[in-house]
Amino acid sequence: MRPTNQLEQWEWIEAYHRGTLSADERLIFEQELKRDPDFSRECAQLLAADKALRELALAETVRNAVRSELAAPPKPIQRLRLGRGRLASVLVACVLLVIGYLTFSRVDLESYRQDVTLTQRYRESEDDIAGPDLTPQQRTFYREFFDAQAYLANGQPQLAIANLEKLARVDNLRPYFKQAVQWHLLNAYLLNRQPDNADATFQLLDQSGQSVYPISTSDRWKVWWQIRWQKLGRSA
Amino acid sequence: MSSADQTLYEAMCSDDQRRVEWATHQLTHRVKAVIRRHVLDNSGSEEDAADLIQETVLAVWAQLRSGQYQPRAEATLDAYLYGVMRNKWLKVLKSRSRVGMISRLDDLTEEPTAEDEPERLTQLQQAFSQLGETCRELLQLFYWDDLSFDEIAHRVNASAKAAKVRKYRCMLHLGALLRGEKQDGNE
Repeated sequence: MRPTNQLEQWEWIEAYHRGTLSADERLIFEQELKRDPDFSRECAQLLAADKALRELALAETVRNAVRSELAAPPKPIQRLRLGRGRLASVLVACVLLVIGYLTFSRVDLESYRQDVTLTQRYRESEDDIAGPDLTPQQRTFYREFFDAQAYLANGQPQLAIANLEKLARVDNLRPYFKQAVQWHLLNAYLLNRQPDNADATFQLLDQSGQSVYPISTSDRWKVWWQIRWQKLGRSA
Repeated sequence: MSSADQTLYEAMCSDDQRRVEWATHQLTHRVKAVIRRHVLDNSGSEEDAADLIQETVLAVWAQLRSGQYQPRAEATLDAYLYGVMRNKWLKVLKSRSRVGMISRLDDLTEEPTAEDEPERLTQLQQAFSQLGETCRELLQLFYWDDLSFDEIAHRVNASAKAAKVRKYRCMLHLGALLRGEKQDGNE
């Protein structure tokens, strides 16, 4: 039944628009719409206003959201934040890594692998290297040197040392071969854990002037460090 | 249209204020840098850029909601929004009599997009502005701020029942204005 009170009637209209009236009430409501033009007009006015106000409220939401988004400060660039403790840990880890590398990484003499190949070739075909251009002394030198390299490659530094020490005492070697012998000897001393001999050879190389045998800076550092590491280990 | 665009489109068309708010934030965030750069590169200021972003997003929202914009597989929402933005900025520049400068700008070409003025919204705002201040405040408290009648009654210093009656009268007034009908002097 249609309410007689004005406020209740407006609420009735609102309930109809919201679809909360029962089927019977909806029937009565729609009969009233047909019967009473003033009621029908009020009903249309309330519906139009409700739709408009919802639309305006949403438009305001959009405006506010845009304003808020424009006012938002740009997101700061994420930076790696390291506290002092963490920074110290990272530094310690880096230092340990460098020490580990210098201590346990083998010195890589540039021509080493190449020379081992040559050694194999020499053994397979001794005639090639013992050609007519080589003097007996040169032939002896090459044999001793390649044998020493083979010993080093096979993990027999003490045998290599014997050969290389003999070669190091030869006076008339060209600087390249002289330094090659000294570097191999130094390497053999380190492999054989003879840091004092290695150190003496290192100093000899240092004093021999311009470096003609190719050794990388990292390998020089490795040698320098491994000599000190072995001396430290012996005294500890 | 990508699935992200589809989600944004559905949220923008929603009646739920929170979804609309979320979608507006997303859309504004996606396009604000491009619009700003476009305005600054074409004789505009930071203030112009902020105004244009506001107007463009609002216009696009109104068009999505009214069904003027129909999602298409080959067109992104951003591209549509940039089209609306360019037209709006062109109108601003024309109104500032910089047509000579405009002709030199290659990218400022007026595209045949849908009407970019939220005309219906303007009509609603005009009708709303014709209401008295008391009516506007009361209706805003109910529709904008989503307050209950007890809270509204406290704000307007009246009983909840009186606030409710006043709200219906204000709505009848607004409805009459929108329908172009003579009001009964209820406000």
